Amino acid sequence: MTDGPGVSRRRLLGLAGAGVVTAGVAGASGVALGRASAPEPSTTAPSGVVDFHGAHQAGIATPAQDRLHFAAFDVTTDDREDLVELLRAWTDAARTMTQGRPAGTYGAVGGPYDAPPDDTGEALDLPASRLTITIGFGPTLFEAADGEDRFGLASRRPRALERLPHFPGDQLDPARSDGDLCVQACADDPQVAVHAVRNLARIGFGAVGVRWSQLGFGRTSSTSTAQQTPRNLFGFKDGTRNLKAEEEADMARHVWVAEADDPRAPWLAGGSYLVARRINMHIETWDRTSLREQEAVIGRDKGAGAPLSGGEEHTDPDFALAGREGEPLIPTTSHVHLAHPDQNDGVRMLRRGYNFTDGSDGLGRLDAGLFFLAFVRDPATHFIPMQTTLARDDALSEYLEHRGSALFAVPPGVRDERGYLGETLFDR
Amino acid sequence: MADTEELAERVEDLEFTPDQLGNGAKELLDEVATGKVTGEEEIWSHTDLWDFQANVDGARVAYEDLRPILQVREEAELDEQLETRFAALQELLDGYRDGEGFVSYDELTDDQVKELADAVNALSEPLSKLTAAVVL
Repeated sequence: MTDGPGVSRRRLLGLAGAGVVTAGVAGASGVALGRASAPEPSTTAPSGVVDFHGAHQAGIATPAQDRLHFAAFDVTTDDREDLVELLRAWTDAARTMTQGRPAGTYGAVGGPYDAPPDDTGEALDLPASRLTITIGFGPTLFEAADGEDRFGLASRRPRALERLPHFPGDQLDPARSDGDLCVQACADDPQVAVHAVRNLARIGFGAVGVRWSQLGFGRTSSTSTAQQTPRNLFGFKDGTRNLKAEEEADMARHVWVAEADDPRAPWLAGGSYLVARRINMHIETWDRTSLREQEAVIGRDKGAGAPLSGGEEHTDPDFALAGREGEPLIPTTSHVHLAHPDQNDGVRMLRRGYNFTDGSDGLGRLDAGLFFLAFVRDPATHFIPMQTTLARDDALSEYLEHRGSALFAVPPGVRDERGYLGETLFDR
Repeated sequence: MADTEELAERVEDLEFTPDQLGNGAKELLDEVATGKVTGEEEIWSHTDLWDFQANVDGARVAYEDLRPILQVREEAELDEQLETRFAALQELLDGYRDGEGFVSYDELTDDQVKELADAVNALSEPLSKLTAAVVL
């Protein structure tokens, strides 16, 4: 699908909605189902520009791009004005970079010859590549670990914005976890995503320092019905039943925070919560597992992605259907069974994760897995219960190790040229 | 000793142009950012904080020399930012003073090294704008 310039994102999503509509399932350990790198219909204008402005931040309902650079920051200043200045500067840079233009007044080559260029330049000549920049606020921005109210925000801290609990089997590395702020940069070109984070980090020196960052090279979820289902590094389709942007009623019910949700944080209305988990996969042991066991662990067929109860990829799984010896065809310990809304009070989440590999470890094992990202209306109902179940009972857990964890509150979008990301928190 | 005195006199007589001072200040901090803050440069003697302080002192002198030009050029914002961030970095360094010098670099925790690195980045970014501000 191609649209001429000037077509709004809402309009585009509406058009995309004319495609196949599927009911959805969320999967919390992120290793549910789907993938394809095959060509597929474009869901934006030919220029590849995603509108920066809107009621919600871009990069959530936006059809998932192919590449990710995610960064968590610690705020190094103790001056609230410096923090607001930073958010304004980030907003300005995000506004121009997402349009495919360089950051700063002079860009990469137009400035004074004796000064370092405003923009670092590696995205010159590249299209916008559907770049989106999404920012979030971590629990420690509102209240330091020692309880200090760092920026006068403690009374506005959302109720659900707390460090995620320790789940069974977690092996968290503090150097890959938490953060005061986060930036999710997604684009179809990895250089465009890296350029965005690099320039935001540079703009932030003096106010923030990068705490950790993660590259992702292949989306593991579809967030639009116009997209095919991609595969994760286990080789299975991931995100078949993911919540899709076209399902507006479920987006409102499961992803967007409503004004009445939290009396302490009406500023978060129109925003969401972002859960980030760095999930390493035991690649080599998985690869030595029989196809029979791999499919039993996932609960789907590896080729087409159909549930083991039969049908095609998008057929509803039949958890009651029994095979030989009366055992359910979809094992009760399978990922599909445990992550299904029927087992989770009907909750769904919008997953937006990416495959990652950071080379190999000292033993020659692939340091790889899934960088799980999900947007939910309330982590206390939409993530923590499901992840507790999966960590305890999911047969897949044997092949997974959660090494990083973070939770952020994602403020609503910027409505016009004068606004800035986070203004509802700081100005009202 | 005579050599040292002669050297001191010659240094007194040296004159630098504003762009040399501005670029020199930036390069002194670049050295800190790439070598000293990582503790790699003095991997055996662990005296990195001495060198760290010497480079900051050098950059600070160059900046002080250029301040009158910043004021004439109405670059008050850059001037204030440099002043604040030089002071913030110095305050961190002062926290590691030990007798005549500094604690050994291998006594610093990872968090302390990260804090120093953030303060170096915070100063280096506006410092990289100093040359253009004084020569244009």
